[in-house]
Amino acid sequence: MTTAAPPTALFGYDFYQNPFPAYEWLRENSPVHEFAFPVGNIRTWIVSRFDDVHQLLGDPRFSSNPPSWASQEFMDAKMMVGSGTAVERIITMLDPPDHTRIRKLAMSAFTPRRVAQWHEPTHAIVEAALDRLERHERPDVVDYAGVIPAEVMGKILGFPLDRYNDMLHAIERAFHTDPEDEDATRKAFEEIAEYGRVLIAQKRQEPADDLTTALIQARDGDDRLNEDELVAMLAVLIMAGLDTTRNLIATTVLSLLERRDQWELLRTRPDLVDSAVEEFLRFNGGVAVGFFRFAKEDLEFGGVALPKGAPVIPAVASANRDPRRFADPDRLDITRTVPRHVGLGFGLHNCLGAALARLEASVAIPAIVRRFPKMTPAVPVDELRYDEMWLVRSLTSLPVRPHGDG
Amino acid sequence: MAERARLAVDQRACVASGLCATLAPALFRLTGDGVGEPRSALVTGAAEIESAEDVAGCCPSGAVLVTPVLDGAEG
Ligand code: HEM
Ligand code: SF4
Repeated sequence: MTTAAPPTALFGYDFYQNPFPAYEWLRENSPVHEFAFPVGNIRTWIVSRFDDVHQLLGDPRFSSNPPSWASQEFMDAKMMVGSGTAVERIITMLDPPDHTRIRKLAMSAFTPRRVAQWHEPTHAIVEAALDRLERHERPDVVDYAGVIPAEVMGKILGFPLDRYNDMLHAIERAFHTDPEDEDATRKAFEEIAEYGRVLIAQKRQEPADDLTTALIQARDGDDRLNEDELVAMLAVLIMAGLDTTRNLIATTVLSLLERRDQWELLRTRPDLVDSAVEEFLRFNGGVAVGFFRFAKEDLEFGGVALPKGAPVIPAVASANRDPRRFADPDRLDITRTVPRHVGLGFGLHNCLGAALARLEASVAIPAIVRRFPKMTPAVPVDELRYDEMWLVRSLTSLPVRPHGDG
Repeated sequence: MAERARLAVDQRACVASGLCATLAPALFRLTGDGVGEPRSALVTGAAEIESAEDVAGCCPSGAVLVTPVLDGAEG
């Protein structure tokens, strides 16, 4: 066993501030790296090269379902997301055939017609958010970035997400690597599930032309989502749809403020928006790592022997910066068109909301650049901080001067 | 229920999620570019057809097309 360690302790404070040197160390020195995951102190492996992450996400020797396949150590440490709540049956943690069944029912509600209906409200929400940003005493891009997925999700699900801030806080508590106490995480998940329950009850009474009603009514032959499955689906949409998008928008705006040439290119070349969004998903992603995968048997992966039940983390943010895959990976280049990234996952669990994620990013990011061409950060960027959240790279705030220094 | 179905991927709609080749590797593979591709244009038997329909239902871009071939129609 190697005694050498990454330059910053994985999933520690310094790592969250800038994980990329640690990812580079992992890719070079220990591409399938064993370490102790800080929550629960459990034996975990992290996979960091593009090819390995890609392989892992499509490898039938691994499961996403902790109760069936995770090590006892993992379960004892109560590491399972949403353990003991409705959230423990979310789609991200199901294997086929359960996963197939739920995904088909959910996907049937995301019709192209429905996605097309979301364009106009997204534009309206973004314009209103820009107006508010301009008028704000302390304009902050993280607030802007957060309001957009919240209002868009609210609109789509058919519910004003008036408890949006509670919800974001619940998600933050749920995925914090330093939980306040043992119960805090479970309570946070229960809050998220309860939110879903209220929404379903409301839509059963008053069906409308929205995604929640479509999910309630979704049919596959005689099959449909039952109450618990609906709660889990709403919970996962809320969890997967808000923070990811917020962080993609916020960290991308920061990256563009730091690279004025790319800012100008995006501002003056609206035709580049599609490749730009893919590059943003690659470069900043929004998602840092995928959910745990578990080895279903003793096996070898990337030359490393993994015991049955081993929890393995796919580091998608690292895969997307792998120089073996991407030329000059640490350069943001919105004209880059190939090759494909794994910012929205790969394989069975690839992002169900990908069309919406792309839509929100393609509207919200160019719009802020066009509205405020001279925007500058209002604080030195090296003072900016990231939250200790392991699933998403979460900027705490980005104060700006919308019209620059002049 | 038809015993045969045509299987196709609309490669312009495909977003290269890799789901098809992961869920049903016997029926789909990915091109070098990561785009989904049926291994054969025709699937036969209830099990294969069901598997193809599962993929069509799970595909994030609606790019997988399964069309039953009615008996008597040319295959
Ligand atoms: C920028 C925004 C987003 C990013 C970067 C993102 C990224 C991802 C990634 C990487 C995965 C795979 C996780 C894994 O394999 O462990 C995933 C899955 C998922 N995402 Fe997204 N996502 C985003 C937005 C959304 C939105 C807006 C929704 C919902 C409307 C959503 C719903 C989901 C769901 C339900 C899954 C699980 C799919 C399954 O298990 O079959 N995501 N996402
Ligand atoms: S599942 Fe659909 S989107 Fe994904 S690779 Fe196959 S055809 Fe393309």
